[in-house]
Amino acid sequence: MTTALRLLTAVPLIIMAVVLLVLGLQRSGAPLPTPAHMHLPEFGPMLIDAERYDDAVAWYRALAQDGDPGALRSLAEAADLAERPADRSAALVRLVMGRGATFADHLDAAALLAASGATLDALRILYNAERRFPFAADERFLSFFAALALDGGRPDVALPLARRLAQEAASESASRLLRQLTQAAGNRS
Amino acid sequence: MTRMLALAAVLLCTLLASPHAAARDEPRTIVMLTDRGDASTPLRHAAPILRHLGLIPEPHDAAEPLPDLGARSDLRGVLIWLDDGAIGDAAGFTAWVTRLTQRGVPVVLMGRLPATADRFGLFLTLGLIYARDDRAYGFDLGIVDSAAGIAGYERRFEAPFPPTDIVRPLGAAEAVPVLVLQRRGDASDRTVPLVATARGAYAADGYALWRSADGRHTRWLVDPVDWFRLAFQIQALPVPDATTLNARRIFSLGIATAGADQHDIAVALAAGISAARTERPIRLLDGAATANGWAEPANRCGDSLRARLMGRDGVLKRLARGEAPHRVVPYAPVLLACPAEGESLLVAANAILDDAASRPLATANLSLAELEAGRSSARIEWVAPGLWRVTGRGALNTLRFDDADHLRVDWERSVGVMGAGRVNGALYVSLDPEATEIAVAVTNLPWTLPPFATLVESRWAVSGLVRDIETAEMSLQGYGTGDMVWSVEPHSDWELRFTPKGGRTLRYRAEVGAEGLLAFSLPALAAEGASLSFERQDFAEVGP
Repeated sequence: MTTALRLLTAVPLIIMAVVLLVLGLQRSGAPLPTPAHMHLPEFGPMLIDAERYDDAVAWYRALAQDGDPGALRSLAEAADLAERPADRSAALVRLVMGRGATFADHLDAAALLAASGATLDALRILYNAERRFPFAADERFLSFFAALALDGGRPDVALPLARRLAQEAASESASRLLRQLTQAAGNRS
Repeated sequence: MTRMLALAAVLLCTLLASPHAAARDEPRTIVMLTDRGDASTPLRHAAPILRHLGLIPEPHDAAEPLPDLGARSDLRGVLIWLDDGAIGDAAGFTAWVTRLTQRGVPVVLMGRLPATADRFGLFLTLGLIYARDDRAYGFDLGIVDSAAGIAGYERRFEAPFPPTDIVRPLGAAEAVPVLVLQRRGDASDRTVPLVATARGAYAADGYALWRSADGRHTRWLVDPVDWFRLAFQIQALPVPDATTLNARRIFSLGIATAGADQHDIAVALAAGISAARTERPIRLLDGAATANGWAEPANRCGDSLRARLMGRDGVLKRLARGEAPHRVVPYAPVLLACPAEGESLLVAANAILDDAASRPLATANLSLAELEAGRSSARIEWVAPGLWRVTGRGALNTLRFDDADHLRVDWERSVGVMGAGRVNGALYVSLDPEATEIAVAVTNLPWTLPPFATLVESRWAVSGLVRDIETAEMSLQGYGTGDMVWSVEPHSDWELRFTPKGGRTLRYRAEVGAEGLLAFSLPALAAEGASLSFERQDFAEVGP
């Protein structure tokens, strides 16, 4: 079943490569390149250089079908260039659900989800980011985390970080966020 | 009687000399405060736009002491665009900006905020109220208002927005907000990350220029031409323009060598293309010309596969973007001659030449390097309202007035001007290459018919124009057919006499309709030069 699905999902990839090859050759009138000339790793960057961003999204989506972090990140970047935030968001969410995602990837994914109204999904990603990158979470992160936690009715998930930063950094903004979260958590309980 | 004659002579001299005595250099210098040297964002992205606007960028390192600009009469404005925010003189920074704004010098603040203790005072001197926002997120920001002509240029604005502090105009009446954002539908929680005021302008970090996550791609979020015109309060200003000849975008396909040992390949390629496509000039460039490129190379060595798969889509799209909505570069792609890629290069050259053939370009014997030199050396003197004197222009023969739908050439006060054409809302003024004294005047008064033919546009170079109410004579040089449009009296009849160099004179009759445009296309016989004259045939029938 899995093999059949993999074959099925590879079909669009093969069709697109053949179509692009044929169209490109028709455009240039040049003879068909032999397989030895095909450097597939360069195909995505070629599409981006040619400003064919939608084709690049389709290409990288096919490459990213097995969840490869590099391909997912390239897919997110191509979607960003194509100004397709939903595709970028989907790629980043897949990226942060797997391995190889950076702290910044988590923030980007959460921001896109939050902007689209998926507050709890965004909150879940920030929660994971805090656990995976405990030393990267600073006051700016807390600001975002706390806003989503309050919006999502889950102030408790941001409280530990707020307590830690309020204690370590002794900053006014962290203390203020701690007060807000504590109050909201109290009201909620 | 002698005293009266002397008085009259003095008065006459004063009247004649007064425009020149009043002349002063048009202030065009923009002092740029930057912090990453040649790699800084403003030098890479803003400086070319400022030069396009006829301004002269003058970079200063923000880590150094702030420049003393008190005695500078050439100052048009100051652009503070920092990538990191560090400044050498944090304590004196706000006072320095205040002195500039008090002198009426627009100060434009972009990029990272300068690390000055008195940010509130800094914004206040720009006519803005500033408050730091601890909410380091922008997912809940939404657009309330945006200036349609400026905002969303190469990339549209959409959530999530970059985090930004709260900035509002001090006096709403004198401010032009380009983008207004609001949090969660709360009208009291607004910020204006892009705004121009009477004292300058402010663009929050990440709101003028978008950068991809990997930093390799950038897009202007605001129309940079219109943004800097607004920010530096530029009204009618003649701009030396090296992209255009006779209102047409200049064509120049260059063949350059990828390495010193590829010279023969480049020569053979240039000769082959020139022989096959005589309608357009092909230029052999040296390495320096490529490095300084008027456009990025249209290929890279080793990318024949890329060319086969993708055609020249990217290059052609970039060439098209250089034309509209603002003509910022000539149509001047450069092909690199690479070993064993002759076939691919011919394909690329033909793709570009076919694209060029579909566009109204100027194809004449022009040196882009000389035009660029003329653009840099041209001196613009303000003589009187709407009147400028131009000297030191070298080979450059085009002046541009941006956003000039309301302007036209004032023929009574202009000298050495052959005509003018409109493209993208700009007025391109054609200067006679043989004219040594140039005075260009524009007016917003209603159009009146000039007492001679005026050039609207021409594919070929035109020079040595001599004209009166019923005749015009000129020299021509160019490649391909000589498409030309002149503005003359409506419903007039003309005879054209076209004489290619060393050839016989060809005569044509032309009848002008109600639009008053004498439009014709001469045979492709002016590569070595030609002369053209036209004479009005119905003149005796006109008049009282």
